[in-house]
Amino acid sequence: MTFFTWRGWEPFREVSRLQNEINQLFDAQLRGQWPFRQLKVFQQDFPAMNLYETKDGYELHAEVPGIDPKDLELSITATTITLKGERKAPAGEGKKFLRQERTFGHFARAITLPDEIDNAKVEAHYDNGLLKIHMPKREEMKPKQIQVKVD
Amino acid sequence: MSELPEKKQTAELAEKKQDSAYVLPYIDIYEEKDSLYIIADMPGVAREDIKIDLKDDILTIQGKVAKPTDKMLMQEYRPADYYRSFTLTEEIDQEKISAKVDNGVLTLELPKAEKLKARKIEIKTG
Repeated sequence: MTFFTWRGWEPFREVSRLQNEINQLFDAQLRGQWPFRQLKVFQQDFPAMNLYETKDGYELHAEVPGIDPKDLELSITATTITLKGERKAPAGEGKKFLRQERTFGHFARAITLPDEIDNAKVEAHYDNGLLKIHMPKREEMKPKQIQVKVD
Repeated sequence: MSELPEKKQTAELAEKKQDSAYVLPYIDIYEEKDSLYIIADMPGVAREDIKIDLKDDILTIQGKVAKPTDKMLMQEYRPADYYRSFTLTEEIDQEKISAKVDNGVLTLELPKAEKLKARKIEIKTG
């Protein structure tokens, strides 16, 4: 049973709780079947990421609107890819906020890579606030046709 | 949606029931001395794929996103076109609305109508 402390209706807290639950669901699912795993070191959900399986490997998309690509730090080790950066809040005084849904500050996310990725060939492209990380599989991991010879 | 904190609103959100083919971009709205600003996160949208409409006091922003066709293995956001609309009151000078796009962020400047701008009144001594 879960108990909640009543704080009044906070829609964004609700959304973020729901998001956490969904993340946990994903994590549970990933442990079983899925080669990538988000490191638990960073409890963050910014930037939001999608992962796709492409013809020759994987592609990781991260939503980083408003961040200059020069301010993004992407690094890779044998096992982990890490994305770090800062989204700066708009400067200037005398702003009266009527609605605030966007978040600012430092962020870092790390993803564990499966063995099959050729780390040396990982490339990243920035496309209007969307970071696309292309991660091809190593040649020897790609499926090959084997010809059946008739004796 | 929750009520805006301010009672006097110069622009309010018109959250209409809309097609699930769209997602709402995250927005900030803030007021400065002479203008109101709407900032919308629309990652993945090119400048030429942003459409801004103003009709019958309804300001609509739309952004077209390329949807990957590859098999999705993990999803934290939905790649769909952006759509959001706002109802403007007469306090906004609709003729002077301007927009700019920078790294997937749309910034709209909505200048306040002249008559509403605070004006210093000089007291003349007779």
